Formats: sequence, C-alpha cells, structure tokens
Amino acid sequence: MFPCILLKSGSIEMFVLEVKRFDGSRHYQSHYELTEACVRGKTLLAVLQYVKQEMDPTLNFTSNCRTAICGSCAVRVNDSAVLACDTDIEMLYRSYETDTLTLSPLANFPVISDLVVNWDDALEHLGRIHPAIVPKKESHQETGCLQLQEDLNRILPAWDCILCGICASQCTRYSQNHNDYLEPFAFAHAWRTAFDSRNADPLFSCRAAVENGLWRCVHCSICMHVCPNAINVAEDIVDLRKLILENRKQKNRHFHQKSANQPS
Amino acid sequence: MLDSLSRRAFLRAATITLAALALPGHVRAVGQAQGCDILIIGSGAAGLRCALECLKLAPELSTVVVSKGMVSRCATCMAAGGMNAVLGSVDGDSFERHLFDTVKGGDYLVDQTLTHAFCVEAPKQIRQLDYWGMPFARTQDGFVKSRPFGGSSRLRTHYCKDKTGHYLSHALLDMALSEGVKLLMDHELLDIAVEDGHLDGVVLRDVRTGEIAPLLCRCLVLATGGYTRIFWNRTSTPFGASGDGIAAALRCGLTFCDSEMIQFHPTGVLHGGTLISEAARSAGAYLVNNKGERFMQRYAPKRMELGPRDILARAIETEIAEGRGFGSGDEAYVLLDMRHLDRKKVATGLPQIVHLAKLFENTDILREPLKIRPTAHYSMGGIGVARWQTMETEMAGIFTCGEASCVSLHGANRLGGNSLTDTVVTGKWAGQGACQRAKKVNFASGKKAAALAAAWRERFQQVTAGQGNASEMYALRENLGQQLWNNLGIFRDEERLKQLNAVLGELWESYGQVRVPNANPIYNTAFTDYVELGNLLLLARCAALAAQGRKESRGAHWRIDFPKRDDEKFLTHSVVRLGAGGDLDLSWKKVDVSLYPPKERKY
Repeated sequence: MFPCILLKSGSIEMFVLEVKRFDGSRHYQSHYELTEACVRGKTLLAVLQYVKQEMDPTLNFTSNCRTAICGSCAVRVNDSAVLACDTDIEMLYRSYETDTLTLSPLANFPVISDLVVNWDDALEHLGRIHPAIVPKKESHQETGCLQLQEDLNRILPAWDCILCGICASQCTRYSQNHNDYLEPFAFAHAWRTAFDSRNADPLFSCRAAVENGLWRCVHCSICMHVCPNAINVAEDIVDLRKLILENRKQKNRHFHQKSANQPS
Repeated sequence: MLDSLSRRAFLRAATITLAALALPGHVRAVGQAQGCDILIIGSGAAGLRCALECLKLAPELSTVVVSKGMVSRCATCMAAGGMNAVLGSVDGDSFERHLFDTVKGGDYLVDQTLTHAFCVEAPKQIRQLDYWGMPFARTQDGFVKSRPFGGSSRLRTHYCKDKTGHYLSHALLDMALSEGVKLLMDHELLDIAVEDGHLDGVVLRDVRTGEIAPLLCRCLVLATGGYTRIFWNRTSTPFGASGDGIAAALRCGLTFCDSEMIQFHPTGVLHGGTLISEAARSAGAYLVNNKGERFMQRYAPKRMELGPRDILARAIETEIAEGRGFGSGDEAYVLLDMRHLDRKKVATGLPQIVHLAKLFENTDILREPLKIRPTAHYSMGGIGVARWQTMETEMAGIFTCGEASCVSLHGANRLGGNSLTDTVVTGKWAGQGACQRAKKVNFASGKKAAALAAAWRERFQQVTAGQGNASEMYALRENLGQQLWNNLGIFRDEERLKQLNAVLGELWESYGQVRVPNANPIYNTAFTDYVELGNLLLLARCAALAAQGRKESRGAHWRIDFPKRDDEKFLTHSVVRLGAGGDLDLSWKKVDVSLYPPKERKY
C-alpha cells in the first residue's frame, strides 16, 4: 500500500511559492507567501497571475489560452513540468505534503527570463523532421485527399501535441545530451506524418528522425507520463524504428530475389 | 547550459533575430535600418496561411512572420467547431445557399459580392488544407465529413473532433516549418510608421532583449487577430487578443470598421468565460432554465439550440433578466445539459468540452448539467479593407487578414464555422496582394519609423523609470472589462452608452498616469501588459462610440431603445478614425446588398 496521507484542509497556515528567477544577468530566488483563500480552487496559472498583479510585477511567465490548448504556460513545480493553467495548486501542496512549492522554468530550453524560455532551437529541431506530409500522386491541391476514418484515428493521438515543451523538459535522454537527440515532441510529429495514410513517402520524416537520434531513445516512457495529452512518444519511436526495419527487410528480400533470378 | 552557446550559433536556420544581419535574404540592412520584403504580423492561421502563399508565389522575396510570443500560442488553436465550405451539392447545397446563410446570419450587414467570392474560394481552401495534411473527420467513403452548425441551412461545417482550430493551426505550422517560413518570435508590434501617406515600416519591440527598433518592409500584412479582450474576464479568447494590429492601424491613419459588432457566444463557462463549443449543441445538448424548460422553443422554435449565436445569447440573457435563470448578478447562469446523450460518444467525440467543464466548474458533464453564460467571442469589426481581392487597406502596401480585418464578410453577426474559413481565404488573398505589390515597389526611407522607435524608447524609460504601482494598472484593466460587460454587453441603450463613453474618457486619462515599476528591459511582461491595455482602451472607445451612433438593433448589436433594424438609416458600416488630436471620428459607409435585398431575419 502507498502511504497516501493528504494534509487535511487548514493544516497549512501559509502557502509558500519559491520561484527561481533570472533577470537576464543574475540568477536568484523569490519567496511569496499566500493565504489559503489565494490558493483554494485556483489553478497554478491563476495564482501566478495573482502574484504578478498584487505582489511582484517583475515576475515573468507566459500564458495565453488558459484552457490547456495553446501550450504557453508550462513550468516546473518541484522539478516536474506541468501546464500551469491545467493544474490545481491546492492539490499540488497537498499531494507533495508540503507548504512550499518551488517553481522553475522548463529544463532543456535556454531561459530568457524567470519562467520564460526560448523556443527558437526547438522549432528549428521540429523543422528538421519535415513535419508536413509528402502528398501522394493521386491527391491533388484542388481535390484534396481520400482517407478512411480509421486511418485518421490511428494518427490523431499525436495530433493532440500542443508544443508545450513538457516532454522536452523531462526527457531522460535529451537531458543527457542536446546535441545528438531531439525534443520528444519532434518524434511524435515524425510519427504522425509517417503513419498518415495521405503520405506518399513515410520514410521521409523517418530519415530525419534517424539522423537526429531515433535510435538513442532509452524507453523510460517519461514523455508519456508527463504529457498533458498522454501522447506516448516512446511507443511512437518504437513504431518508427519498426517501420524502418520492415522497409529494410523488404528491400533486402527484393534484392535477394533479384539476384536469385539472375542467370548464373 | 554551456553547450547552448555553441549549439545556438549554428542552429539559427529557422528562426532569426533582428540582430541577425548575417542571414542574407531575410532581415537585411536597408539604408540605416533593417528590413524584409513582406512582413506579416501575427502567427495564427491567417498569418501563416498568408506566409505560405507568399512563399509559393514569390520565393525570391523575403517573408518574415512576427509573433509576440511563440508561434502556436494563438486564438486559432482555441477554435473548436469547424470550417464552413460547400464541398459538394449534397442536399442541394450551393455557394448561393452558403452566401445567403452568411448574409442572413450577419443581418444584412454583409458585403455580398465579396462574400460570394469567399464562398467560392472556401472549398478550395479546405481541399488545400487536406492536401497539406490537416486532419478532417471522414465519411465512410473517405471524403471530408461535415456536421450541422448554428445558422447553416445545410451540412457544410467540416471538422475534426472539437479541436478543429488546433489542428488547423498546427497543420499550417508544420507546413510553415517544412517550407522554411521565417519566424521572428517574441517581437511585439508597437506602431506602424507612415510618411506622406506611404508605408515606411514598423516599430517592433524585441521582448527578449527589450530593444525597440524599426523594421522596414515593402509590404505589411496585419494578421493580429481580434480585440474581444476589451471585455477582459468575460471573453472566451486568449489573453493576447488585445487588437494590437487594429490599434496600430488606427494610430497610423487607417479605419476601424464595424467596431461595435462583437459576437457574444451563448455558451461560456460561468467563471472566466471560457468557451463551450457549439459542437456540444451540434451533438444535441439542451439549454435549460430554472423551470427545467428548453427555453429556446420561445425564441427559435425551428432551430432550437442550433439557432444563430446572437439570438441564443439574447435568449439566455432574457431568461436570466426575467428571473428564469439560476443565481444572480455576476453569478447568474442557465444550464447546458448533455446527460441524455450517449456518454461514450460525448467522451470520445467532445473530449475538450468534458475537460473544460471539469477544469473550470468542477462538473462532470456526462453526469451533471453545466453552468453557462454568454461570453464575448469574436470581433466582426476590424481594420477597414479598400480592395477585398487583395485585402489591401486604404494605405497602399498595408494589407490585413483574418479576425483583425473587416472586409466585411461577417456583417453584424458571424456564422459559426465561418471564422476559420475566413483565416485561410483572406490569408491567401492578402498573400497574393502583398506579393504582387512587393515585387514592384521599393523600400521607403525609414525616417519616420526611426523617429517613432526613438519615441517608444523614451516612453519605455518614462513609464518604467519611476515608482508606480502595477496593481493599479491591473485594476484599471478589470474595471475596463466590467464597464464594457455592463454597458456594451448583449443589451445596450443610449443612457448606458453615454455613461460608458464618459467613463472610458476617465479611464483613458488614468491610463496616462500608469507607471510600471520594472525598468528591466528583459522580457518585461508588465510593460507588454501596459502596451496591450493602451490598445484595449483605444479600441473600447471606438466600439462604444460606434455603438452609440448605431441607433438600431442588428445582429450582435442590440439596442433596447431601438429594438428594430433600420435599413433606411443604418444599412451602413460604421467607420472610426483617430484624429491627430486623439479625437475619434465616426462616419458611415454603404453596404453592398447587390445580390440579396434585405429581409426580416427569422429562424
């Protein structure tokens, strides 16, 4: 049995937020104290907005849609990345059994200021995958494509990706080395492109994935566990590897048949 | 992260900064300043669609898309319902029917010739998106599928789950990244520089460094989205929907058309105004008052819950006003009931709705009804367009598209499902127009842009140098939202609008006193909030002025004191200009009703 004792309501007197700050040149930490009324039934984003508006206007973070669809507001709480708009802050205090939470910006991204990170490189990485499909000959700009609903359903899970960066922040492999691997979401994009029945060349994005570390995933599956949309990138990576191996096998068979048919 | 320096040095291919002079062909030195051929402000569906068109038609030109944050953080991704287009002649559907539904939905304030062209272009755009890989729900034969939608007489709303806008924005982003569209992220538009009636350039603030600099361009496309955040906390749109492009356009002498026309979506969650998509009602959800009645039978007996948005929003507010709602004041609401629907279908087909109900109201919508109230949702009004074929404004070289523009295709009330189609159709038109012109014209001197940039630098100093109290600024923003909801909301009248205009004058004055106590230029979001609040105040003043001027009820604009539509006097678009002294000037422009003469609007 797990010892899952939640602190009873009222047993925390002051809810504390420690925020790791960066003002462009200096790293430091800010300490904010909140009453129960400030956190009761609130999302982490609502509390960050409260702190900015009422306590410290210099605190910087990004947010936009507040409905977990735009991906702006991902931050780390006690080193674990979450979407601020989709997280009940009181539950966080109670499940960590603490009166102090530490906020920090996403890991594995360059930090611009406080909780704000730079997405330039991450988008460049995504571009390397060539996330758009290669249209089939029978498809046409003027007529579109044909696709069966079940073929669409297969790829839709990865289309839930909102580019929040949480998987990149938590990825075991990417944290080890940024130079020979990509943010996991890039592989999810490669997968959804490769397995799109409208795609004429599934190997196109696979090639880019291989060149950028497809075989280096360590299968800890943490990407799936932290993803706000439960996208199973580790599984997608396995699928991509299989696709490449299948293709290799077919090519080999083809080659052997050819050589067998040749008169000696 | 020591390795990030060397890594970043060679990973500059897809994204650039203003300082990246070393990248030939994109942002480059033009005289004293820097410039690019086509500059697109805004990275939602309209901006990205426009960029893709520019890249296709004029790959030799440098096209740069500017975004005030990361590119996919737009309002497009929040759109749920679908995209209208006539893909076939199923059930006798035709471009004319789509046109008529749009005209009728917009209460005849729709310019009809261009809307016909829009209806003809719409299916081409859907197929183009399909070709580019956007997910669409499919029929058994594998064709793009449609669902019924409010105000549409035929099935022509193409969709995928309740995340159509999310899929659209990401399909366009995938395409943009694959095609190598250049993105300039974390740059905020401050002003547009115009010299002697000609486009000079823009002033951008690099939010990351705080640097305020001019950027010259041959053509400028404003795809900055709507301004519904004037209602601050009673809107479904993202925090960034502050109408920056429209405000900058006003300041450089362009027009703001139909500014009083703001669509209220009938079903926002009670707390915070986040949208529960029309997809819920499309699936068969009921709207219920405190007597347990499906009250829509009194307002739109044929269409019931699938009537057009303005009629539904008014119906809900009427129920509340006449005591048939629940709660009172800011906490008044009616119920959206989905319990009679197939639970499995709702859970798998409308996951976003289930999620939002849980997040904002702690309601399991499969088992309990949800508290809802109307919420400001879409800006029909926007930057005036002089030629719809190219989406060019009155000022040669400045183009606009998407929600920021007012061509006018949505009239007094937008039909559900027309906005996403609008982004791609007008985005394409603007791209074509910008390419044609950018090939012919040269850069301006950049003198005006440099002067404006210097003025903004000074303003930053002035606003951030002193002490100040940021809470006052945020309180001002809350106050603005409440004033507008109470006086420029679903029901309007002369008395309230008069009072609102006076209050807005006062708020404008207090805004002049606002100081932001943060002098650090690095990603100063408090200063961003300051700039956005200024834009919201300007746009709110325009909307209140036009609402007072329009003494009739039409579409989303409902005047209690003038409950009838008045085609004699007001078959006209409102046009607001900003005078040199900061005064607003209201005039009127005829509507194109060449195809369908006005009739009474009944559902």
